[in-house]
Amino acid sequence: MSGRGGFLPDVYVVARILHALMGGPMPRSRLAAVARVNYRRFQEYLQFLVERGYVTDGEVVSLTPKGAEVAAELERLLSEILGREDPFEKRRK
Amino acid sequence: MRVLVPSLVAVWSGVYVHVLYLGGVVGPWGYLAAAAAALAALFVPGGRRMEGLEALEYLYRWRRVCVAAVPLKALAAAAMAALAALSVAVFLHPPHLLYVEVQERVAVGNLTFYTLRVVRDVPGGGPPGEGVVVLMADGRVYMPFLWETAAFLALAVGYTVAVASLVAFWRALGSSAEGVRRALEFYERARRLLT
Repeated sequence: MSGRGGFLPDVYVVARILHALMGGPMPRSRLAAVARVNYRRFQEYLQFLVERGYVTDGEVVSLTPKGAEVAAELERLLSEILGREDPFEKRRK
Repeated sequence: MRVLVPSLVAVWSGVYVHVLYLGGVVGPWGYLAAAAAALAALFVPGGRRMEGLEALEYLYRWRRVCVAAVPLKALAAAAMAALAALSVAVFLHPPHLLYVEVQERVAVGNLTFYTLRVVRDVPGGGPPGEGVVVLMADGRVYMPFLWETAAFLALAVGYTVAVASLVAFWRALGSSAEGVRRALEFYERARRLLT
């Protein structure tokens, strides 16, 4: 996964932003806090997501239908991986 | 892995044989049997080579101790060598025990006179006349400290605790490794999804 001009987005930061936006549009500053990166870095992430067509950046940041699809897919992936039984914990139950 | 259960059985058998000896049930040859059991546990045959599904099933069944296999094997070898050495040493010089029962007490003034009866004499390997007196009074047996008992118990308890700790440590390690594996899997699949 590579962005523009050598920007290499962290998958976990992108997933965090998309996950937060699933709850509805959010102002930039609040989203930056959710992303847990500094504001300058956050703007790079935002630009990356806008270029990919995942979010729209206006007064607030919101998911596009394509972004919502990707966010839902990430949620499904997370549930699948975390929902799997840990073989080391299996017999404790 | 195959040495784990036999070695645990062997160390506790050492304690059991010692208790039987103290009770006069077995002679010093019991210690020789314990030494033989220790060596037998150490050289448990490796079994045939497993492949495919059978090998996977074996690894799955023993997954909690697989990575700890090398330290466990080393620990078992050390414990079995110690057990064999201790058993042979006690076989060569078994403790001489004299079980004495207090039959009667007679108080004369401020002195008390005891009538004693030798109940059992367990011959040992030391010089004649040298032995440990085990007093029996009011239905209770007062066993004095014997270094042999302490050694057998320390070996059995120490080895069991060490094995349990090692297995518990690997279990925690395995669980954390599973978590890392999932995090990596999520990263890879999410990366593919986002590109």
